[in-house]
Amino acid sequence: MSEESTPYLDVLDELDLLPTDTVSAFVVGSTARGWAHGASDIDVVVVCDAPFTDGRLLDLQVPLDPRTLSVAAFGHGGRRWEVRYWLDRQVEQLLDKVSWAAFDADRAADNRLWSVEQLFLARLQHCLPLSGGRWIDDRRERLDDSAFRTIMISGFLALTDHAVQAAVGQLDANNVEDAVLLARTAFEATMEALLGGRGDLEAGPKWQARRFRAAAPEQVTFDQYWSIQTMRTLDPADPEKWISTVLDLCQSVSMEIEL
Amino acid sequence: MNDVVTTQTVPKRRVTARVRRHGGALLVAGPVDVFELRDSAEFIFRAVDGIRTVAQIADLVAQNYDVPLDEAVADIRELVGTLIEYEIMEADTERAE
Repeated sequence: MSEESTPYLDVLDELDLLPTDTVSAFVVGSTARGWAHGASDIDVVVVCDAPFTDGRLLDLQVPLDPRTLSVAAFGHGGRRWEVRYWLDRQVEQLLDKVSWAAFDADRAADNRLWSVEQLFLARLQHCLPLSGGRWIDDRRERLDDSAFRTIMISGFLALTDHAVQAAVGQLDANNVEDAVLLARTAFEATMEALLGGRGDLEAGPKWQARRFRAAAPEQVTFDQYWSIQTMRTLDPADPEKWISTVLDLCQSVSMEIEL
Repeated sequence: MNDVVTTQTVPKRRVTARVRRHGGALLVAGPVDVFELRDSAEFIFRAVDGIRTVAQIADLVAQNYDVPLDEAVADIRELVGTLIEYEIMEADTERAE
């Protein structure tokens, strides 16, 4: 391996889980972002030239050629590790999928990316390189120049639209309780769009508050965010007011996110 | 000139209106149609908050763009009227003249 080798790679090497044709390896997720705690998984991505075969690996389906990527999951040092083995050519296909040319050819395409693909690209932006730093720099640069951010933010805002329409429909039908939950859904999607606009596309509830603090978007303060997420300003005697405030905020924030 | 929207009309953006910022313009959409708002049109859209009257928004536009007040009123009535027609805005008719 290169001079960039680290203890993470040493572990994989010791366990015969590091292919000889590895072109790049990096840690992703909470460990890469410095947010890991004692029970956090260690998530590693290894990019290689040829499919890595080993009896301990599982296959994960991807809509690429080849249609699977191998995954190793094991315990080591009191932590759970997961290693995903991507092929260089699968990454190439993925970057082609999110190119501006592909996006412009069919802007209305739904489900352009599977969640496994979204996660790979989103995590690449905040990864901790272990080897193949030049490969990572090049792919990050291409990702920055791609339509990935626009695709993801558009998806979040479409979720916002859907939830807002549904909330208003439930209000019209006097189903206030579901309208409250839909307003919260709309808010959560809008916050993902907002964080995406700040370069954080690792969507999901697991770290959203931490990601929000780190991104510190100027459009919504953490107190505002926290107040709505925890629903602490919801007055049971007047839930419509809370719904209206949340939906108005979703719209105002949406206006500020450049696609 | 739009006859439905008066200087005392209080326009409000519908929460169901979809909004996107793209290429420096604000795209706003109702159930069907999408409009691209630039410059003063976007300024007006942002100034619509469900509290200000058309007259109050016109004051802001006149100050910000250094245009005569009657011209600002006419522009706002036209834009707001169109956006109401396309279900992007609604008006508080109780406060209308």
